Amino acid sequence: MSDSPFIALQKLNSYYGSRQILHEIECTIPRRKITVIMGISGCGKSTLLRHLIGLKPTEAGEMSIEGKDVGTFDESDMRAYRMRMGVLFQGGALFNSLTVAQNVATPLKVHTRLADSTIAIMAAIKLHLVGLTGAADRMPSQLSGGMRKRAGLARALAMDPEILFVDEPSSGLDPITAAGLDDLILELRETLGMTIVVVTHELESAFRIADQMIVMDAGKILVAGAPEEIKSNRDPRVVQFLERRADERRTEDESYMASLLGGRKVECEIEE
Amino acid sequence: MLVDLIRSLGRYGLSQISFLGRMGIFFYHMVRGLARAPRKFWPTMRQVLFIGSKSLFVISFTAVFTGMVLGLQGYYTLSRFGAKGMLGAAVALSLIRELGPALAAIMVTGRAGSAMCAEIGIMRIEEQIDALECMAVDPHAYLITPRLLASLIAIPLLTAIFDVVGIFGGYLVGVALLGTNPGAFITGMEKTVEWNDVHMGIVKSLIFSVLVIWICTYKGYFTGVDKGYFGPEEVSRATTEAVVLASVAILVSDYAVTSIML
Amino acid sequence: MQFDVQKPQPGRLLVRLEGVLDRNAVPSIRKKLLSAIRKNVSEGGVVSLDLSRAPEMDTAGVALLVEALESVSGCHSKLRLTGLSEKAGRLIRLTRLEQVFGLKDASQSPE
Repeated sequence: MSDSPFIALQKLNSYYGSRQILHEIECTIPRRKITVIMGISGCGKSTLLRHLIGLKPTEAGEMSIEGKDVGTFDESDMRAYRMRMGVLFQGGALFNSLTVAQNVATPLKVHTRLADSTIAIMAAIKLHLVGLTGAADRMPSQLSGGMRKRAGLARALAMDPEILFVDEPSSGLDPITAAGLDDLILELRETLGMTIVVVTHELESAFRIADQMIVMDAGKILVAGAPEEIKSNRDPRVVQFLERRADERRTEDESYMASLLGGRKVECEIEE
Repeated sequence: MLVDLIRSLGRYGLSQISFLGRMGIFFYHMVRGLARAPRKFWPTMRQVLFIGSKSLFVISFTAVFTGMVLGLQGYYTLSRFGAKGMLGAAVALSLIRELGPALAAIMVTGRAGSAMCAEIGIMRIEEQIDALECMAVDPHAYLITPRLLASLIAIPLLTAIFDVVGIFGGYLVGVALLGTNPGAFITGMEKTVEWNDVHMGIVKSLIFSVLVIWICTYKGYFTGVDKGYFGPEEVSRATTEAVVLASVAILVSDYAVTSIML
Repeated sequence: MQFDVQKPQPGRLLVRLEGVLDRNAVPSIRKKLLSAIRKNVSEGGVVSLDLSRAPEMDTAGVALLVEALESVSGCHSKLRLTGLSEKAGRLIRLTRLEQVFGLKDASQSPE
């Protein structure tokens, strides 16, 4: 059982209204590994994450968790799955009306019968883990973006999750804090054997932490594999992404002209 | 052209049907949260305080002027028929049966309902509601149920305050300013107002409290969800829609309840 | 989850924990464990927590150990963790509490 993947996706199609966001996604999330999902913005990686954490419903047969089909999950199955996972959202998603420590304590207060003093110690431990010991009694509005993100990570870890989902860990962080967050993610995998899924577009951090990478483009998986395989991949889109080249501008020229001229075709020659 | 018209009509119809369906499901989740009501004691009390402190002043203020206008209008209308002695009864009945519940609920919508809608809307756009779901916490039970319970407690109380202050306003104008007999004002009121009238006021205010919370929290909860875009301007849009829709719903249901109960 | 308390000699207290020390088990034993320690500990004594039969723990378990440590040091005595599993040791190190519990580096067995 321990070798089987935690999550497996088979031909996942996802729509928003009538627009198709994801096309036939097939991939697996292995246990006790860090999987990094990469791609430029708008490639569908956030939608994929929403499927993985059960915020966007999946059809039967498209996604399975430990061999069980998520499409057939009822409310209590989903609850049980969510009790095992932690999610760090892009902005931290802290509750504004609670202090940082109360935020971290919330899942424990709701789901366990632990004494308040035990919960307080647990919250302090998690806050120390992300380096926010001094900020326990502050309100989220008093924190910087990086601190909010770290507090969000402390809350995601509050229930000692088996699987951790992280949305854009380093966006908007200074390089030192971002590197510290990467180190912590690595340490969690090493010491606790946590399964971790990171969605990011930061190449450097991705290659530092990834055991497995999934590169997405326009709602499809471009390539998936170990970081070295990705690096040596010769697919032009992958190379372009890795080399951070901008899209060629010429492709859009025609529609640009059309928008300027209201769709009229104009021909113009320059006489010398 | 015609096809376009039919298509847009159809699209509008479909979106309205899905809106109603989603509102119904939201109502179901909101009520289901009541099963865990005992654990919601302190959050509910905080919301009672929030609704009360937000709305008490504005409700007293509108109530006193509503009562004064009723006293003024009632005095001149009744004096045409030589029935000035009925002024107390007229003021009290119109407040208790009609204006108290409706205006108090509309004031709560404007003050506390809009604030709730904006608060929950911000929770939506900042992914806090998603975070609750991912913590296996039912956001309806966590966010909506305490507000529903609180409004069921606070709005009838605020309505009672509105009635009393309004009657005081009517007394002020009718007796102190225009010189109606104070004894006639009070006894007229005492003789005509029956338990049925008070009962109707209470039923109305309970129905309005459910409506206010249902509509305001629904609008906040689904801020930007239809568009799939979660910008800050969506919060202000949702808040405006919530206040307008809730106020209209209060007035429409007021008519419906009155016609059923009479 | 259960535990038993022994007093091998005056000034020494041996508490043996057995089972999984996680957030589901901690609420049921916390009060009894802490009051057993508080009642029996004497000034300048040593309290040993034998964890050899409780190899599995989560942060709630660590938090309980911290609370035990608090109540012990409140009486000016020492807490000693024995039989700590490798897994539990790793968790304590991850939470940066190895100094508090006097754990040495990973290779050494904690005493």
